[in-house]
Amino acid sequence: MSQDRPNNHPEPKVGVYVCHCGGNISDQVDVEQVARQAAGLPGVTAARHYSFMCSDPGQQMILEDLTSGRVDRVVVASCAPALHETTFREVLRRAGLNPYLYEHANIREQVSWVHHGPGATAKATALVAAATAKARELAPLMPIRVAATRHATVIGGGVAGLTAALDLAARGVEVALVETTPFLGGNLALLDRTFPTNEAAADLLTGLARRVLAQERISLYTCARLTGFSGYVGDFHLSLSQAPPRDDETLERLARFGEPGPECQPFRGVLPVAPPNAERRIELNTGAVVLATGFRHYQPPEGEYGYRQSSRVLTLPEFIALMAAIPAGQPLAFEGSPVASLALVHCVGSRQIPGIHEPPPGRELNQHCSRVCCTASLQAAGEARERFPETTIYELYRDIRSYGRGHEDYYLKASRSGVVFARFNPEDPPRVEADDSGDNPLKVTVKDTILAGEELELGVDLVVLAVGMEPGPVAELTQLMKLPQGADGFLQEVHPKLRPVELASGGLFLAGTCQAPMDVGEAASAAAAAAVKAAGLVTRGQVELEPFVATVDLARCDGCGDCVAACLREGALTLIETAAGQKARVEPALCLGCGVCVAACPAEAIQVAGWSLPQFRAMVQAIAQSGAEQGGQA
Amino acid sequence: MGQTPFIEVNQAIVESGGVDLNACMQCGLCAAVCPWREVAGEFLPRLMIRQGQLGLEGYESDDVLFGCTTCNKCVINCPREVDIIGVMRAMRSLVVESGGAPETLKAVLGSCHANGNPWSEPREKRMAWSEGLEVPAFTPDKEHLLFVCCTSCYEQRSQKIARSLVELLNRAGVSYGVLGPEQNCCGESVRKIGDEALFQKLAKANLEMFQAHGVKKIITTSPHCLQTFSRDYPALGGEYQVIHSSQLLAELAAAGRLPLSASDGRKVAYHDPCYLGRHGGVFDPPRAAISACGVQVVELEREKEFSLCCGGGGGRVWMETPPEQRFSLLRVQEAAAAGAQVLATACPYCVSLLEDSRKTAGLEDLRIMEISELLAENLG
Repeated sequence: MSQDRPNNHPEPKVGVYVCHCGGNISDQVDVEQVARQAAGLPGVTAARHYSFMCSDPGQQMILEDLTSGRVDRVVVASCAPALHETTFREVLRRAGLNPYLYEHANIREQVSWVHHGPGATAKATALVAAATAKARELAPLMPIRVAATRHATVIGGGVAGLTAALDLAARGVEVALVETTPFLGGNLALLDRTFPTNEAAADLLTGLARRVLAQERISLYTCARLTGFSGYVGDFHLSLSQAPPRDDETLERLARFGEPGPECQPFRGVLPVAPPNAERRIELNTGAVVLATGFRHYQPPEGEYGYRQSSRVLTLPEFIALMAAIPAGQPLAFEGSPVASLALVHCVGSRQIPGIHEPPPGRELNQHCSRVCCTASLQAAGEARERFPETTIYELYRDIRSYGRGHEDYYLKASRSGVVFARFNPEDPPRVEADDSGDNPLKVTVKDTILAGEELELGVDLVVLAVGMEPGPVAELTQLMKLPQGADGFLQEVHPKLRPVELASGGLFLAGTCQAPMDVGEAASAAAAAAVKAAGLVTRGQVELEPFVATVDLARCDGCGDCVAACLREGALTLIETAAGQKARVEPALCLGCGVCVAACPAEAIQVAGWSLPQFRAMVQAIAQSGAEQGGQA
Repeated sequence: MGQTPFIEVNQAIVESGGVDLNACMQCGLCAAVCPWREVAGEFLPRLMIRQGQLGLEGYESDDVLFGCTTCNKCVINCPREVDIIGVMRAMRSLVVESGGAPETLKAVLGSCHANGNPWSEPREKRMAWSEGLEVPAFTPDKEHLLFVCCTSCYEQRSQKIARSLVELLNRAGVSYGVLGPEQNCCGESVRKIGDEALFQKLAKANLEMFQAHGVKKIITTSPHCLQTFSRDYPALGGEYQVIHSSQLLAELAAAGRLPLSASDGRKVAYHDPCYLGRHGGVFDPPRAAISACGVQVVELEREKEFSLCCGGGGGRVWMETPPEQRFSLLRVQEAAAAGAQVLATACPYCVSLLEDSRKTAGLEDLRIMEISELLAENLG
């Protein structure tokens, strides 16, 4: 690497380019002086300044110096490298040079935006000196290329998983679709009609399942659990363990199905294939993994709004199933008695507030808005009023967030159908009590915010809780695959806008409600996006990775293993036997480039390419020297 | 002890015509734009509707349920286009039908019942306003029926409006005629007060009369009659071409049929009546009519859709409002502050209330004039 520059290697010729960034930099930093100082540094053969280095003329200026042979490596002093590092590396590539012969000095965010006066120029001068010193030590680097298997694995057989699997297969990718239960359809199977089209959930799922079963490129593994995960982007190794279902609930649900097939049974899902009779282990080699593990409905603890204290307190999914089971034309009844009135409570298990809500033992509060429950409640209330006009419906809410296309129509429809709304403050939530005195078995007391905080007492026969969405039970998976989770427990993307369906680890993608509460359409959109990203990766045949990974100097390595012990990424560093004894070996595709091993190595036998110790030493020396010179001038 | 909703009341309001009751999402924009906010009044449309939705007591009082002047400002601003006036009317009707109308309004309703007018005046004196004038009787060969508002038939100040209009129509050679004491109140305010049965009775009598005389086109002196003939009567089987006097005068002036001097140099502000402007969408013709006599037009800050109600709609013209709570007082002060010498308007209720407030405010240099009066003064 760079520290081993052969003696016959010509002296590097560094070009230094100082950007004004309009006045963003030059208003605070004397850019001319910075360039002048740079011109006097060892190895510098060109030092220029310009109003916008990133502009076409700015890039052209660098390109001309490179093509004329005046310089063979470049330092640009401008904004943060996140903005334009790749821009200037591209200039080197255009000039036919290795793009890693480039060093960036950030004199905007780290200088002109935070320092004013002569100190700003001094710091900029020092940073440019450091970058120049490092640039002299740079060596050409090659991106790491790893072969990508033209195969993707989708974990989760709900609407997002089905969609992602179909979209991947349509792009010619072999897909393994892995589902822990014997069923397809996930939470969508537990719904009746979906907004905003009122399509039956079962019809949607039957359509998807039919296509999945007909798609030859999709291999379906139901009753399958991920038990092993290793490898890296383009070349993951997955172990699946398939087992016959044993829990009573699943067996009971299974008993309701006849022959397996794509037909979705309302509120039960699809039984696509017969569950396995025996345990089986499956090994998969896959290029990308799409996580579509879904969500789980918030389960209110006993006593929250009377839940489980009264059988007449239901969750919204339970109420939807109750309504669906009532034959057309019949009145709404619960356990044989008519329901004259009911109260629907919003934000149950969502938008919880520290100090007001109590987290369940060992759990965090759900501070997020679950987004879909408002429209789902409005849809259910409107449908109930339409089908059961004799039933009075109260809808108790904090805010109505009917945000999506067509969602507001459900709000208006519910209003016009005579649903009586009451808005409450979270610090005064509705109270649900048994009531033996009145006509109704339950009494709900709510402080109405419009009526100057006056309390309303509602006699009701049912209370329906619009439960929110929580992260699914994926603790085992997150442990195994080392998946990042947000503070809300949902899996977390790299960047919410720029890389919304990718995880920080290459080759892992997010589809649907494992990432955040979404409605069906949004989950399908996310799944389609994840499928495109994953397909783009595995169909190229190989993956290119940044070359900034650890490298071992075998001559110096004595195989002590300190680096392996310090390494943060499992599998990135291993000890191997060589003819010269035990040595450390780096798996470049797994290495994070963090440099922990460099610090741990007692023999200075391991370096991170592009960030080697000699490079750091040169930078430190340059900064110290620059400081001494400027101190002397002052 | 909390209150228990009485959902049957909610249903009764909806069944009485307040079909939009439950469409209200309680955003409160209505209460914010209501003119009662300008005088710290008690009436809050949102609260009234909330109480109606829940069937709770507390809205029936004179100041709350009967506080609404039906100015329509809340309706045109409502994000859900709730017919707030319709809801209010239905809520009033439940109260009125059970004998709960405010005392002053009971007298108004009683007079409409007995005399066909709300002013407790005898039916046979209905044409007293036309004394000494040449006013043709309506016959089938006449183009227009001139329907003079009860207020301008009986109230002394208001009679001048009708008299001025007749003078203008005569000079312009308009083919028109009037019907005599058999004419009844149009019923607009009666309906807004909540006496639906009485409204139906009055409307039916008028419709029969129009039918019997072969009426096809109607000129009204009041925007209230205009709205009820054009919006409410068609549902009862009477379709007529209805025009307000200010619209006709604008047409006549534009056609050069009014010999106006066009040299009135006074500064004139125009007050948009709610029922002509916000209810009827008629904003420009009255302004055109005023401009025809060469005045300097001064626009008020609260003009057109934003006009400030005089306070006389919805039955309020017959109810007592303390001076500090009169919208009309704010209005005359606004006109005076804008430098207007004349505050012109196009509604007999507005004229009455603005005239009262002008006196209360002691604004002796300001004249309140109906457009007909202003134009008649400028006849050459």
